Amino acid sequence: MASGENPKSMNAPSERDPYNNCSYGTLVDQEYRLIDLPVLDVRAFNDSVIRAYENGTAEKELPADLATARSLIPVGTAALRDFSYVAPEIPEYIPGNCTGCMECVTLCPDTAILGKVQGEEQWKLNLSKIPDGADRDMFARQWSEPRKYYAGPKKKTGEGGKFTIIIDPAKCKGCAECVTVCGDDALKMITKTDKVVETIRKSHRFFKEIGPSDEQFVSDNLLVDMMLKEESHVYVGGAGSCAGCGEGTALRMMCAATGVQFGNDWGILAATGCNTVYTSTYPYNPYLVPWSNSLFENVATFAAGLRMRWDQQGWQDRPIWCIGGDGAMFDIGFQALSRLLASGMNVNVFVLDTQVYSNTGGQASTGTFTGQNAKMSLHGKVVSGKQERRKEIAQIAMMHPRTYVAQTTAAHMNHFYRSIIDALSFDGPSLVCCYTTCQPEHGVADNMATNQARLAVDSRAFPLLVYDPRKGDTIRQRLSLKGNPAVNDPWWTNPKTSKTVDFVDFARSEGRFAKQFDKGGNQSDTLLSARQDRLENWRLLQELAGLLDKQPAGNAKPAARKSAGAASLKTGDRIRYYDDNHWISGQIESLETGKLVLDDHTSIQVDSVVLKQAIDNGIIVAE
Amino acid sequence: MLYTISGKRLPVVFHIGARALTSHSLNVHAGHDDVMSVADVGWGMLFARNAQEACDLALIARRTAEATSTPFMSIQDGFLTTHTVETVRLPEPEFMKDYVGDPSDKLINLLDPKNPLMSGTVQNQDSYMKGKIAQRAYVDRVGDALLESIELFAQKTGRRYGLLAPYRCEDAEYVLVGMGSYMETAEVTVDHLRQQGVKAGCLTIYCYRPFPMHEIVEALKHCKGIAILERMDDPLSSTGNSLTREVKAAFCDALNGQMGHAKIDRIPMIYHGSAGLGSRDVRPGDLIATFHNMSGGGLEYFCLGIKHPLALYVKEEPDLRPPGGFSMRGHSVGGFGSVTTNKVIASIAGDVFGKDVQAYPKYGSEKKGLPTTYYLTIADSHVSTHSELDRVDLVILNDVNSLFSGNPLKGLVDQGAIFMQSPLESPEDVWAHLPPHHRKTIRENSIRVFFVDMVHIAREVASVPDLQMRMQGIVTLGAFLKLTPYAANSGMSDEQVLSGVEKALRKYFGKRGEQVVRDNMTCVQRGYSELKEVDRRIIQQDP
Repeated sequence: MASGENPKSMNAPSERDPYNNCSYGTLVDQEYRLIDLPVLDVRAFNDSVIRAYENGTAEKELPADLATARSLIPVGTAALRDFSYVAPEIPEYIPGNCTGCMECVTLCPDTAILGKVQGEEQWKLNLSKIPDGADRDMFARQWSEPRKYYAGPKKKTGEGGKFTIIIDPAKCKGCAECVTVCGDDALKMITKTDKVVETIRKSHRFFKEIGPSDEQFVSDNLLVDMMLKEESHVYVGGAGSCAGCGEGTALRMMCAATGVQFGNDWGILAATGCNTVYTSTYPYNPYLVPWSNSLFENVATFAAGLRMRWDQQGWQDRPIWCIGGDGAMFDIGFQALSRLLASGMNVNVFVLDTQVYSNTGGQASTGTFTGQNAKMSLHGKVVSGKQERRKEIAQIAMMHPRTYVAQTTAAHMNHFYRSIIDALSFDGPSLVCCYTTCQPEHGVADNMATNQARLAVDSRAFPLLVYDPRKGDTIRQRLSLKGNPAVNDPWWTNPKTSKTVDFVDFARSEGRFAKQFDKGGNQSDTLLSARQDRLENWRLLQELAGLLDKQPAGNAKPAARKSAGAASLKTGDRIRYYDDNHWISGQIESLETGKLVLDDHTSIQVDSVVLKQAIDNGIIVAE
Repeated sequence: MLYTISGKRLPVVFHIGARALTSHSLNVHAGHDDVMSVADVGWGMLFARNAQEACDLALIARRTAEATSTPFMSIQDGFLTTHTVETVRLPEPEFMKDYVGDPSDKLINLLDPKNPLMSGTVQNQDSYMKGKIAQRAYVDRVGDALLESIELFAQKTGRRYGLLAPYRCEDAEYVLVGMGSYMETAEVTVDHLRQQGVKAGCLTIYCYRPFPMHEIVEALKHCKGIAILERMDDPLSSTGNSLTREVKAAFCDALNGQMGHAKIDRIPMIYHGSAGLGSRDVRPGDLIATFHNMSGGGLEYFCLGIKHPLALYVKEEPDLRPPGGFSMRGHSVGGFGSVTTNKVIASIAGDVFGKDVQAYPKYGSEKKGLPTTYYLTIADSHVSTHSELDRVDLVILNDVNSLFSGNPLKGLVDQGAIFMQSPLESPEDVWAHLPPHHRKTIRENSIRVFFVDMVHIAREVASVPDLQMRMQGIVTLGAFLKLTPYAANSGMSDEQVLSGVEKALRKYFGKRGEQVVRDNMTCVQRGYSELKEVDRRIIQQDP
């Protein structure tokens, strides 16, 4: 239990929560975050209001007193919330298979799966503080030795790091996203028996008490490792989002990337929508930073006002994130957003783009894809789903004066984190539009947020992009499509199947497009026009990024399908390779094994199919 | 937005020029339907009648808002008050600081990373109603805090406001009730009616939220009849417009002795009407008709100032300006700089000659190049009427076309004067070019005629091409100084007068640079010296 807490404190163990799993602090225990304002008594709120909600007595017993009048909530109260009853299953960690990639930790929407790394000696010492031998062994068995933290550092410094993944039983909703994203079979879902729950509760308690990660094993260069640091957990578990919610993950990651730089010294303003409903429904607040909502349509205006006030107070260095869905940003608050972007103010906008009004039951927005079956454009006899084309907020934002723009997904973790970090460092308005899966409205399973986001990018439904005005004076200098597969091609070819992946393939994987396919699985004409729409959107981006130039002459970028083709090149041929920025000369060491040796003394090893594809695509040409 | 501001208890004060709402058509002028449509959003609402009250109530609203964490609307009539130049006593900055207090003592930052919290949350059946009802703890303090702010303001300034301003109500049989600028016109109308033996009174409501139900019943309960005038019309409400409904509800409670009312045994007849929508002129004659309608048991709902089956018939139109007042009316064209000149003249009459003034323009939505009319009254005491002038001592014709369309000489008093633009040199020619019916009026009413070529002066003087057109207007100021007795009667030397004029010009044009100020001064001086009169001998003859 957190030290010095009153036993009546909600931050202490209780009969309902014997291992104090529901307490402040994500990786280590923390105290309540008290404030010095006459309008809210944090301790009283947590210990009476939250307690009443957790005990189920709130609705009848809590009075309509002055404390309720403004309906303010302290930060992080969601940490005190117990969701352990929600799901029948929970993930189990298989340490032997873990590589320490951090994907499960990063992509959990609920801050319910946590990682920690400690130097082996210190870890042993910490472990020895667990008094019961059986408990100690049980907990010790959950620590692994992935090469990344153990063998690698040991070779360099002599000491390896022990690593663990732990489930917070009070925060896990059983969506199994972590199991799906784990590429190493290091997680599996198991039934929650009393014994399983007891073990997981205990383990989570030991985890929080064993101390923080050892900084020497956490590389600042590896963005995916940031969630090993307590300060990244600005969005704690306990929010009321759906199991597996793609938005929850995106918000968590945005908070992490901002938190590692700025701690809790920043603020969030949110447009009404799903995000406000699952993060601010009384009395549970997952955020550790000041937060406010005004209305659906005015968040950008609100943010501009807050920026002015903070600047007036000398708080220029404190970032402001303004959050909203596609409904708030593309539609209802579009004018306010445009005004903000034109202001030059240092405000960051984060768009949770689910392509639908998720909060109100799935009405079409201007971000909805052609052919999508959404309310207000329901698929029926007369109209087969949405007929209009999707509006692109990123392109519109790019045309505002000196605005940083990124389009990303949580599934592309590095691209996502880099976009957030660059948006924060940009001295002016920024907009990060994030594709987020909405399970109920997209018609996909709870564990599919990451997979569907990847497919959205692979199929050009939602291309990744970064438009950074700091990179140069021309659009092509500023706009990068890095991170999209086959960036020079109309569509990407999956090397495993040798088939192109297009919007129809994406649509086939989601229930929102199910009515666009007949019994034989043939797509409708509407879907073909949707595919054409996505292709035209992608080609526009390619053109803006300067990727459609005809010939790879000099330092010009390669043109798709204009090379001599794979048949013309063979092992030993001198070639020129385009690395997304420059042409580099080299030689094909082996067409069969897929190896290139470049004149800058680097080499590239890829699957031979990919190499041939690169030749076909003009990324590798004869010198 | 308004609801979230009050719900979060943010003590914002909006200063509102209340305007008619776009419905069957757009109108940018005064109406109360805009603020009445947001009367139930949890904000305090104060209504001013004139510039002085708008200034004073702004401070009272701010202090009360911060004392009670309740937002306020400080309302005045759009255009009629917002765009009228009037003599005011501005509160000193030191007093304002002292009266309102230091905002940092009163405001709470709900978005402070050092004191982080969440506001604007979502609440369901378990909590929403609790929060909403608990807000009464804030709202219940507003009435007392407002009275305290009013009392402190009175102690410090000598200007005493109330939730209401009853005027000659004590023994009144019939009382007119309303808010905004026409309620000042109502006071002088009541005086006029009292002289005729009518037991009239009027009740201005300064504070609409919180609604002063007890005070209103107390002020009106003895009357035979009351007429509630509103600058809006919402007939589907059936029981009357917003204020009417509130007054009726207050009397209903009082009849039952409920809600803290002393029990009464009868209710006055309650008449209600619409007036002044979209800045439609409301004249003393209209208000007199309202009293006659009440005493004669006339229309229960009526409207004023238009032709309609529900409109009241106006029998008399008295001149209720302060005694000894001087009024002028100008007929000009948008872009001539005349409306600004009118404000400059008002400033000089007020600041240099120490008079009470009221100056306002009448223009619609049209842009440059279309006719505008402007009005100015100068008096030794406050000008209480807020109506278009139909008795004037001086008519200024910046736009000579007005002589050929409409009647710019309407209401010009006997021995009054005309000052007009003319490119002609000789008084004979000027006279010859006037339409015969105007020549007749001028001769019969002993009106004097003055002229100067304002266009020519402006062209010669303006050093910036875009000001050639605009500077015609300011030449009028030279004529004003010469034709009116104010400069002569002020006891000031010519230098003192000119220095006062220059100060006023600098206030209006200083931001455009020194040359523009000098050019304006030159125009004034040339207007003064080049002014010519059409001699009475010429006027006696027809050309």
